Amino acid sequence: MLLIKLAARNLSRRRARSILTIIGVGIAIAFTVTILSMSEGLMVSFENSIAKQGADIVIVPKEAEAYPYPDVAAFVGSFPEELLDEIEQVDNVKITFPVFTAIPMDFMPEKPGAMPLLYGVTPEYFPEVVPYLGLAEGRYIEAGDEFTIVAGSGIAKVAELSPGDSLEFRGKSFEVVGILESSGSMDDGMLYTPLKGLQEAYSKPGQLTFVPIKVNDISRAEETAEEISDRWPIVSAQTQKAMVDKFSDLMGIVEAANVGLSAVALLIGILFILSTMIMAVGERVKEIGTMRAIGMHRSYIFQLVITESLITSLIAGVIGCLCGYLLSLGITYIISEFFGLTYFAPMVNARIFLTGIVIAIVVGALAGLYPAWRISKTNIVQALRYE
Amino acid sequence: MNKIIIETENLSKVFTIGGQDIKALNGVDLKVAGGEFISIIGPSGSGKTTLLNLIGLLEQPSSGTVSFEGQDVSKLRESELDDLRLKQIGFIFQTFNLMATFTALENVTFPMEITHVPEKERLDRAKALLDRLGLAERMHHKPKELSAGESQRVAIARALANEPILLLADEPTGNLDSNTTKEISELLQRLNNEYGIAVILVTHDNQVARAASRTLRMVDGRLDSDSG
Repeated sequence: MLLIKLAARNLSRRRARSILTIIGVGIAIAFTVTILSMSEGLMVSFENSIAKQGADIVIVPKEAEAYPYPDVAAFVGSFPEELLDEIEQVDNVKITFPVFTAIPMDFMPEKPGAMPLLYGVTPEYFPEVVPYLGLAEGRYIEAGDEFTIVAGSGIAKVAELSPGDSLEFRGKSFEVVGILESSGSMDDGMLYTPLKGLQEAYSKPGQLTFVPIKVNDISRAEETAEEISDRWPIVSAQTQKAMVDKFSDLMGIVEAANVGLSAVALLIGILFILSTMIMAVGERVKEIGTMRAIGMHRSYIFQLVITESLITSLIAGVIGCLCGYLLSLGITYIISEFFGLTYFAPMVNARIFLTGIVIAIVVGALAGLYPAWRISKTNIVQALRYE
Repeated sequence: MNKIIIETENLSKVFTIGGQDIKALNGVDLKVAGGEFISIIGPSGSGKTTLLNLIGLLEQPSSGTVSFEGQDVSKLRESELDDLRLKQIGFIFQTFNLMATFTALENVTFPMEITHVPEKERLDRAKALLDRLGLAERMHHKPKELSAGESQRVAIARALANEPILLLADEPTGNLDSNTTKEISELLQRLNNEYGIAVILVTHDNQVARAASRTLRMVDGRLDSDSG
């Protein structure tokens, strides 16, 4: 208790300097928390979408196989629909869901970030592949629909869509018939249309860009994916698990970058507190000499300086985490309000908060070491003479 | 005569300044009995403070020994020296050296907090000490709100907090006016009488030195005479 009381008194004695240090370290930690929450958000949005989808294998054009998001296939290529008749004959393939994706580049010129993905699907796609997507308004795509749209919640919000509105793509008018509930996944940024209608609008009749497949025996999914890739070289079949792994690898790189950024934050924090603490103990040489003369152990003086450093960094850590959280909320708001990307929301969770606090503790402990060591080594008589 | 609490034998201290050895203390033999009041006078640089620092276990001699209650302190570990200073020796400094962020009361309870005296007991003891030193009305004031005389009285109360057997005062009146100087020397005399606490007072003021029962003169690092 004495230690904390002494440390707190010393910090409050040099209030302005303590506050500035806390702000400096707090900014470094807030920055780290925001970056971590953004990559966490990316990971979670992935887990909410692809990883949750009801497909065991996904087929994409060969050119798109390196990308973790199959939607990217819309940029790079397609393959003929007839292929599915043959693929369905493969042992273990239960059912295929043909999808044609397109990216309307000029969807909302005033909001260049609002770039939905058009998903041409069959009615079975909703209950079978994305069963987690509930309806907020209207209905799903039904058999017989041609130029209808079911909009993801995010894009519906940005474009202010409601059932009965119509949207034009490549000269074709599509009527909004349903709005989906928010799922926190990438699906929130999609506009679903009937497969045939979208193929027609984009003059790609009979072409597919992405096909989720369900198999009979999940334990043989990998073998089946290999067989498909081998037999039809224009496509690449990957198991759901392989895609998750690939994305995890990508996230590994992001994580490594995060570690680097956290290290920079750590260094900034250490330098901030170190300079403050060196100044602070330099001003208290005589007082510390008195404490030693009275009988306070050297180790106690050491602990006292470390405690001051830790209190500073912990306060900075808590404030930094809170500011990082608020910053993440701000980014979420901007992304969702102006770009409609509800699926790419930074996510602050206990793990990120803990990381922020751990960084703060490490910063405090490391920054306190040198000044604590130096002052605790001071000769008592010299310290008493110090003016 | 009471038993000897401090004994120095052939005590020397050499400082090396700018490559030159300066003998601050040169073979000092001194015995201090429990309850004794000794003043050490002498010109600046005669080694008074160095002797006090060695007796106060604040630094190590270059040669010779200091025994505290019969024990050679050179054989003690640093933490044991700390404990001796904390519990057996009270320090009074010329510049008071109070903790600026603490009130008078907190300054007095501080040494007792280090020795883990229970809260109620240390508060009672500190209040009683401050009251006895005429600071009952000033105990919640911080050092900057106290006069020099009040500050030195708080420092004396702090020095007495852990009920030491020896009080070391290094020029305690050096920063005080003549009235307060008189007041503080009388106070030290009173504490010596009432508590039976041994006092070693370093001063260059002959008036102040008279409060002691024995006066030692220091010249060039040697104890020159003993009047008492």
